[in-house]
Amino acid sequence: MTCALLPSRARADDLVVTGTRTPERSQKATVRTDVVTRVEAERRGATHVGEALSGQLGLQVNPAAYGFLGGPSAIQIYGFDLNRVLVLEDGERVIGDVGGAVDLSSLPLTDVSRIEVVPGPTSALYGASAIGGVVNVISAPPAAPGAFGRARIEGRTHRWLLFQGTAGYRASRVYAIADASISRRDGVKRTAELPDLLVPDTKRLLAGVRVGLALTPRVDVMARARLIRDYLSGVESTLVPGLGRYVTDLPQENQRIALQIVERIDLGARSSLRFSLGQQWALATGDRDRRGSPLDETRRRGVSLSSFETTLVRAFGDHMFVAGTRLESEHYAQTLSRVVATDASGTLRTEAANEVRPIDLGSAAAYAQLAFEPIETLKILAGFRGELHRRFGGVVAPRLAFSYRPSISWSMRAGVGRGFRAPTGKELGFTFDHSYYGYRVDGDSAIRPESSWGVNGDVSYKTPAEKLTLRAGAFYNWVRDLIDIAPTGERTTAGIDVYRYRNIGSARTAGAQVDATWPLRSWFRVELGYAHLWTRDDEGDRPLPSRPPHTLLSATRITLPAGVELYVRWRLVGDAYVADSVRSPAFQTLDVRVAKALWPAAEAYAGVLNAFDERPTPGQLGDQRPADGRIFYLGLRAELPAED
Amino acid sequence: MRGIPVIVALLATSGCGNEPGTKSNDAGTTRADTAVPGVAEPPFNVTVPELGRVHVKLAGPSVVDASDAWDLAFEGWDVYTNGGASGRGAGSAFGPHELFACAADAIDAPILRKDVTGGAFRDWYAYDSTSHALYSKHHVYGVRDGSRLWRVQILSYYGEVAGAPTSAVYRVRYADVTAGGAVVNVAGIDGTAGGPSAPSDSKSECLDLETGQKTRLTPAEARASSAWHLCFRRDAVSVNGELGGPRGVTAVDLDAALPTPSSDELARMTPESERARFDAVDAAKLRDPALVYRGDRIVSAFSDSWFQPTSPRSPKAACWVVVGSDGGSRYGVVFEQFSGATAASPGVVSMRVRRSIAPGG
Repeated sequence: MTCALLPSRARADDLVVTGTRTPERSQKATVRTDVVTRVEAERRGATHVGEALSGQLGLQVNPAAYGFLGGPSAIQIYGFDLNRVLVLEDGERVIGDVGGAVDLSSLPLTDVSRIEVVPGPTSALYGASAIGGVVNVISAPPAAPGAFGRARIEGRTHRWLLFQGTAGYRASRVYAIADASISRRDGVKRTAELPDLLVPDTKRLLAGVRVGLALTPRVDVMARARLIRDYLSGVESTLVPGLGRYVTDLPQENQRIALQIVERIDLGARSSLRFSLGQQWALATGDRDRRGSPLDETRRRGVSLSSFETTLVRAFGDHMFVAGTRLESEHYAQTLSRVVATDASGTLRTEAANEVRPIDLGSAAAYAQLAFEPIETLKILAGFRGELHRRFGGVVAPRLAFSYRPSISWSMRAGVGRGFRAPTGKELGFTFDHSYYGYRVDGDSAIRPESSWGVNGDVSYKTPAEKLTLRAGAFYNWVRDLIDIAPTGERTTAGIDVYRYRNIGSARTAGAQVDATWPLRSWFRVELGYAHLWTRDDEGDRPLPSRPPHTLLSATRITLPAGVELYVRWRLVGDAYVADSVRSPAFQTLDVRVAKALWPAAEAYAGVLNAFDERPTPGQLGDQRPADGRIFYLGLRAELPAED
Repeated sequence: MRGIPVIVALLATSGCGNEPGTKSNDAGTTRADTAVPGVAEPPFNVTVPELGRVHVKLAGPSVVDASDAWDLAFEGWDVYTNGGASGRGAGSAFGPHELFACAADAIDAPILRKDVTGGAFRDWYAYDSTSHALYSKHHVYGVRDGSRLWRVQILSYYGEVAGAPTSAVYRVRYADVTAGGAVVNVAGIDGTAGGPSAPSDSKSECLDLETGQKTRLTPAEARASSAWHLCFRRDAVSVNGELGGPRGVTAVDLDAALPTPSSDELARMTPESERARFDAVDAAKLRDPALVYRGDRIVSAFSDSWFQPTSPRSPKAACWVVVGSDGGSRYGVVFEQFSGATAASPGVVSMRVRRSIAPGG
């Protein structure tokens, strides 16, 4: 009674690559890797990577936790926020803004095959930012020769329209794929009375091309180009004492261009050599247009990344050796121009200044990793990475992990590793000049990378017939030299207090998670899970803000007659510390989706997200409830022919 | 709370005819009732001259030279810390605090204030960190120029310029109470001083309350000019007396003792709603001898509040938390007695100094 084209979820034995850079079956992988396939993401009602991961146990993805325009869908893994989680596309680092934040809502699911999440410090393999973990968004070449296409069209609450399409052709030695995605939606008002938008009006466009060519039977080349453009239209109003309310439009345009060329040489005997050349630009322009006034601001941001990476995978019997080098060059800049009144009579002047002075960062890295099996049931992995940065010198990150499978039912994993995060362009070169109000915030080129140690482990049990899978895991992380703005300023001779970014913090996170997957019948499947998170800001002796300590999750999938699938997902997120005497309230979400197979490669579907219509309270600091409220959706998706 | 019964008992038995907690005798000595269980440090006396400063190092304590690392300085009826506008150190202070706060091992303070330049108008607004807006507290000020007295109220920090709200464009009202003058409303007083990134010597507007004339002056010009009473520069309002200028104008905040209103209360305040308290101030109130009229000067946590405005003046029964010039050491200071006080000096100040063990101790 199942629809053959639409596999239900990431199978437990899916191949994963992110944890070790070598293909492993996820159940046997030395490093825990969670997988969300595109199909599973769509079942969750997701339109982009942020939404796809938002219901994943152990992760928090919540725009409201950060609360600035555009609401980047910010991920937390193991209690570490978006600046401490590395986001990859096909293994290549995604650049974010000048502060390092990657907006996961800007990554559509159009060309995504699956998303792999490796929690825990992974800097031994991937370098900077992999303190909390790694998210790898992976595309895939066509599975079968010939022409193929895939499309999804959907309508949602908030006049939200979505189209995602992929078309391609695969011959014996070459394939070409074009991807496109268009979505637009109305914003969400903060309150009924005010013009302010909690979520801005949004348009997102993606166009991409992927080409693969087998130069010889052993040499493949893949090239990919991607253009993502976002248009956000926010509105905010300000009540000015003595004058009344003034409205400001906040249009913002973001653009990311990513180019990547990968050459892979098959050396035989499970060995390969891979070269990757990448170039990205992230450009953004944001305005503050005061209605009825020329006193406006324009902020322009430019970040670019050039990279070249070589990876050798060499198999010696049961030993698998991985070694590589990576060269990176990054550029950050942010300018602000604004029209200001220089006196009360309305004399205007245009000012321009660097908010982040142009900064070039360069690094060279080398890494090596050896996986071996001293006995058949035990696999040990040891690796390290050394990086040399122009700004702050060298960093070394080791990792040791093992997996033990005493029987086909039992599997145990444990690992210890170091993570680090390099200072961002903003932390190095920020200049936020509020001298008028007596203070300034400056970056500091002398700050050091943050560093962490983490241990984690899990045990899983699978009944012989694979009817039931149980897993329990725990982790503990220590991070020090956290970069933040020092609370005490330095007084200049002009009487201005200058606050700087410093290495001032240290923190710990710990947690445990239990989950079970239980296919009771071929047509009935249940997932249950609970995650606990404990965090501590060791400087302030308090929890890290906006980290819910308790999360409960259940998902049920029922395949009904006539090709109908019912999917119900419930999530309870506990209340969380935000600040002294402020907590984000607990909330629960219920998502329901019904899909009907129309023909073997298509389905119509309808659903509701956040059926209880949880919404943040206006003005409530750090409220993590869904900003969109309840969303109904109706859509159609089709594949011709079936890729899977 | 352990000190409250003691203080209440002391207040109940204090001498008649004086401010609560204050005693005086015929030898020109005034005392505060400052006995606090747990503060057993011996008294330390410092003689404050009528002219010039005397510097005190609290570790000890001892009188030191100005070139040493001093923690408190006495000049007339002013007390300064070695920080902010007063010195090159990292000192600051908080007070008046409950007396028993000085008895704690960890002498704590809710906030610490560095010395700043200012006068009666230094606390005219409240800053709302949520909206980043400055709200006028609508305090009423008395301004004295010779025999003339004005009542003044700041109504707004914002004016509309080129269709947008612009900060430091003031709106005020004032009235000459000695001449029975009408209430004058003035809007658009330009305190922008050239905008956020203008040089520090940009001109801003100063107001002559007598003529209503507005004059644009740099800070240096204002300090040398007698053409104004109040000068508006960004969020600061200065008075043309003492360090502010040569005209000898002084001012007093009649509502200084009021608690800072809540954000909601501030948002509800309008020029109309606060008109009554402005109108309630008449010449008699402005001539109250207890009011301390001053020009602009360096103000510290002690300014105008470490003594009772009685005649003769006596120390306020309070604990003062002082951070030393090193920025780390912390002291509790209780002023016990003034001997030989005059209009120009408290004479010999008797104080007890207790070093905090933590924090920062």
